[in-house]
Amino acid sequence: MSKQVIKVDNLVKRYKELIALDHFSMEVNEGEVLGLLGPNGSGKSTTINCILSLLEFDGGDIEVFGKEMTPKSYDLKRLIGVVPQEVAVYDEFTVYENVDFFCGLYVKNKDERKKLVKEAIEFVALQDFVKFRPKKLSGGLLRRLNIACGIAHKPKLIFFDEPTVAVDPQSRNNILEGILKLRDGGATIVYTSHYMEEIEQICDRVIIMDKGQAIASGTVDELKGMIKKSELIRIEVHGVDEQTLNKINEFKNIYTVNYEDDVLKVEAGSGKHNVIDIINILQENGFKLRKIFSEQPTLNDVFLELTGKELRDD
Amino acid sequence: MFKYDLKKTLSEKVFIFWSMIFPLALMSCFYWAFGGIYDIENSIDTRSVGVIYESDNEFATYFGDVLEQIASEEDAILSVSEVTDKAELYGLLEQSKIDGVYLVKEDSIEVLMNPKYSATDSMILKAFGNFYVREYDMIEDAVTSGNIGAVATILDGMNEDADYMSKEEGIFAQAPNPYLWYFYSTLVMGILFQAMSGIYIVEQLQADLGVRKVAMRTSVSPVPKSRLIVSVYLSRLLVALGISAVTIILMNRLFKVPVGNRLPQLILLVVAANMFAISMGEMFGLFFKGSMSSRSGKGTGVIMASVFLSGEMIATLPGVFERYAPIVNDINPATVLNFALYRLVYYEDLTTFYIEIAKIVLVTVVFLVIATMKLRRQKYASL
Ligand SMILES: Nc1ncnc2c1ncn2[C@@H]1O[C@H](COP(=O)(O)OP(=O)(O)OP(=O)(O)O)[C@@H](O)[C@H]1O
Ligand SMILES: [Mg+2]
Repeated sequence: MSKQVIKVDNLVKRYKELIALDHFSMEVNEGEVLGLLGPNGSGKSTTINCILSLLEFDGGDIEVFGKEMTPKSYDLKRLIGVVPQEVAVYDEFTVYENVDFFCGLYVKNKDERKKLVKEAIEFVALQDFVKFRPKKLSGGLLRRLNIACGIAHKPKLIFFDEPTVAVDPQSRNNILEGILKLRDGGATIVYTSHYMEEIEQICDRVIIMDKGQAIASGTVDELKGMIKKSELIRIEVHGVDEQTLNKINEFKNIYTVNYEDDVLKVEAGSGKHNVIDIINILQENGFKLRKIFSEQPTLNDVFLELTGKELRDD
Repeated sequence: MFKYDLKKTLSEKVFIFWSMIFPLALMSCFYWAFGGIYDIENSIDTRSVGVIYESDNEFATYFGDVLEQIASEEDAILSVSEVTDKAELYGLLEQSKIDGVYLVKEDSIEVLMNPKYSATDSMILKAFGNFYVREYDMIEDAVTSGNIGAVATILDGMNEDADYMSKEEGIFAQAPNPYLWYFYSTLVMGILFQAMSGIYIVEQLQADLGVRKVAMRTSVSPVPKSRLIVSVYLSRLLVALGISAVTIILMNRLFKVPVGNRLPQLILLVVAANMFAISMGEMFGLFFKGSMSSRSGKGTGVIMASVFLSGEMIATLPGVFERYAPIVNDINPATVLNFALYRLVYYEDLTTFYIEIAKIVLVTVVFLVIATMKLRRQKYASL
């Protein structure tokens, strides 16, 4: 087993009456990208801010790199990088100065810092904008600057709190690839998002959060395996009769069969041969298939299954 | 880090512009309105006085001689009433037909003012009375040797060197020129507005205020909060001192307002005043409620009130407080600073100046300790 970088045990955080974190526990292993997936208000940012010792909390223990984390844990803070949910840069400074300033809080040596700042700016591809002030940057560029400010000092543990909000798909992919590069460079990463696609794309392990609780955790595949429904098959086919439908339904891996407007929808449990089996039956009975879709379940389906509601309202 | 804090401060051009331009603009108004200070100084009204002798010793008779000598000069600051009858003089005084009455006793002189007296009137009359009592020996020599002209020479310095005046008579009674008071309080006002820097410091460092998200970044960095506080405070102070220096130099050169010739003490005063203002601003930022801009608004209100009560618009206000509620002057920072500056420029003896400075420094230290304690807190109940 690899080393634990973060250990959160039974964390409780209240804002007045509202319970933002309700006995939340999690562990992050060295060198992994851990995803915190949850809808708005589920407590992702609150978790991060508690770990960073920015927020007081009402119960529980937090260890980072095997030590208790306090506001004065400067040795630990030195190893941590944060990309906060809201862009946090100085409007008075240029792109370069911002990165240099925040890097300077960690790295005193000027030559070393110069190199690090340059690397960070290249990392987020802002080379052409070094002299720009934040006000002149578009939303996506600003997000990238926000990232550069958090990672320039080459931290061993990095928190990304929804870094891709308002970023176009192209830049978003660049950012996600960058995060994987950071992991491959040896960093441990905590990544929060309510976009399941992103989480699926980059996270080694995922914790699904809702209302301040961890409702499920595991690798993406493990999570998908947790739910009954694992594959949705859609076949466009004309005039299928009741008898054939019943035959399909008899397979042990098939949960529901639905036929409407020439579209056959079949929900199937995990298993390799679902699509083939169905196609075989249909062809045996002489039906002409037009189009076949097979949809793998998403984390959204997992979330839906576990909580009875959609991950995203939008 | 300090380099960047300084850069940040300097990049607030609007703030710097206004903290420099606003006081200077106000000073120009005064300057044009009063047509220059020296003209005003030269055209101080003549005050009419009556004399009642309650003794006929030499102390009393010489007083009469000296007074007449002064009154006979061109541009005399005093004129002596013909009336000598006690009851009649009191009547004139009551109706404000004369400014004051000297009650000459064995070895002291009392000054009675009319009901409408102004601080300057009282100052001038008392100054002369006190001057006479103190310098009686010297005057006696001059009079007996028949060289009464020498007395005038002795008197010459009176207007400028108010140190002759007793220190117990209240702040404004000692101010030789109320117009200078306007300039000094404008300068003080400019300095007090550096409180905005204090509010800025709070907003910069308190992660839970949420105005500047960057506070969160600095809070999670390995740099101790105390170092962040010192760095930003010093950068703000440095710029504030620059602003004060420019204002003072321009006030002195452009408007010919005297600032004395004691540079070290002047620097001490300006540094203390700016430090006070910034730490007061930190108090505003930390203890006022509401949004950051409403905190600045309330802070501005406090400063304006303080400046107003120190006589920025009505120069006689401190005199009024001195008579009815001296505590107001004692605790009003604008008055204290104003007065300290006044003493520095016009007084030989700096004891009270140092006492005022000590008062300011003490309060500043208390503010700074509170601010540092509050700002160093690194965990917040909510963000
Ligand atoms: N300062 C605060 N005061 C009161 N309640 C708060 C505060 N900050 C957060 N909350 C509440 O705590 C809960 C968790 O908030 P948190 O910001 O951690 O959610 P999140 O998962 O990060 O959501 P998002 O995706 O919107 O960023 C929410 O219900 C939120 O309304
Ligand atoms: Mg959040």
